[in-house]
Amino acid sequence: MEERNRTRLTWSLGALIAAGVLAGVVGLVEVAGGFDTAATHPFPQPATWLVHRTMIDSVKWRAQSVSPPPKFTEPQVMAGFRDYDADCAMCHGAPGVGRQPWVAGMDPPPPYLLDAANRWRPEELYFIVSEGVKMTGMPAWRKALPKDEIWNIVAFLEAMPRTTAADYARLRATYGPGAPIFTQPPKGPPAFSPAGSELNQGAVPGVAAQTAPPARSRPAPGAP
Amino acid sequence: MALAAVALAGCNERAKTEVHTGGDPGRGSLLVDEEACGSCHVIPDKAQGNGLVGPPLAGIARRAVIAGLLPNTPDNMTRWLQSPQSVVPGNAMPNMGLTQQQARDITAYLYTLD
Ligand code: HEC
Repeated sequence: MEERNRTRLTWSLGALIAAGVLAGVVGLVEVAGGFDTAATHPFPQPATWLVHRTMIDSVKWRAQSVSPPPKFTEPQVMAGFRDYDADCAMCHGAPGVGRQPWVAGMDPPPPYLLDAANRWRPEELYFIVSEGVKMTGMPAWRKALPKDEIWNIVAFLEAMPRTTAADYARLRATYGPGAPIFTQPPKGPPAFSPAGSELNQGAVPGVAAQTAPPARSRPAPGAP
Repeated sequence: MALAAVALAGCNERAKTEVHTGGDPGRGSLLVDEEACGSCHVIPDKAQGNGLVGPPLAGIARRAVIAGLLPNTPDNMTRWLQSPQSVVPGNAMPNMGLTQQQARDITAYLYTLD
């Protein structure tokens, strides 16, 4: 009995020391600036795969708590288009529409979402848009958009595989790029609008930039 | 010996692509990551190359035509990559604002895919 207690103590102590050493090494590497956070030096291929796989499994598991989606209506899809065009297309593109040039400088690169609805269930899309994705630049949109707006975006994502580039251009011609984000004024002030009404005026940075004269060496994406 | 031969053949293949296209396949590979081509195309060896919007890019060097329209030459591939919308207006692949050199680098990379 004595003997067994002693072995257990030795093991616990060993584990504790090992953990301490590991933490120390990680700490040293970190303090010495050993971990490269530059977006220009992506993770090696296997690490990229692992991180992405982790995101997929995490979303699939946690989206189980999202209640099933409403049956989407045509007006919801249209409202979703306006939100998507104003808030999402700058990073994720759209049928026939490229992303803003600076997006190529992001790591991980935001994917095009033309067939996102074929990979994710609507609840999972809702979860991703609503909660965001850590360390990727994908924001948790529930900080800025009410729930029904997020469902509208999901409604449009569901429609995107059936949306041609010509359809998308027609939608833009009808509603105009930079259409106001909110189809209805949100209840209460949006959390991310320091100036108060910026979001309500359709003054969306990425979208405004599309109509401004090109000041970059690369042509604005989406322009034929 | 056999391995060395294979490695040599690989080097030759790569050198050939560079001369052929005026592009650098290494830089092209990085650009393919940055531009998220993999979210629309299945691309061999790319962690996120599983998109099913456009055709798979494996064996693209051996394909006769690009987008069912242009003969598959390095110049035409560069032109396609720079401006898919002017080649096939209204197709889903966007103009991505690539420079000529970037398009050449990507062409060089694409021609290394089996
Ligand atoms: C938004 C989705 C999308 C993105 C992003 C995209 N493509 Fe495409 N791509 C397509 C579609 C759709 C086609 C088919 C066009 C057609 O045939 O009219 C295509 C066709 C092609 C072709 C011709 C294939 C063939 O067999 O004819 C090549 C090569 C190609 N893409 C390379 C790329 C590269 C390289 C990138 C990144 C720089 C890229 N694509 C980004 C959607 C996309």
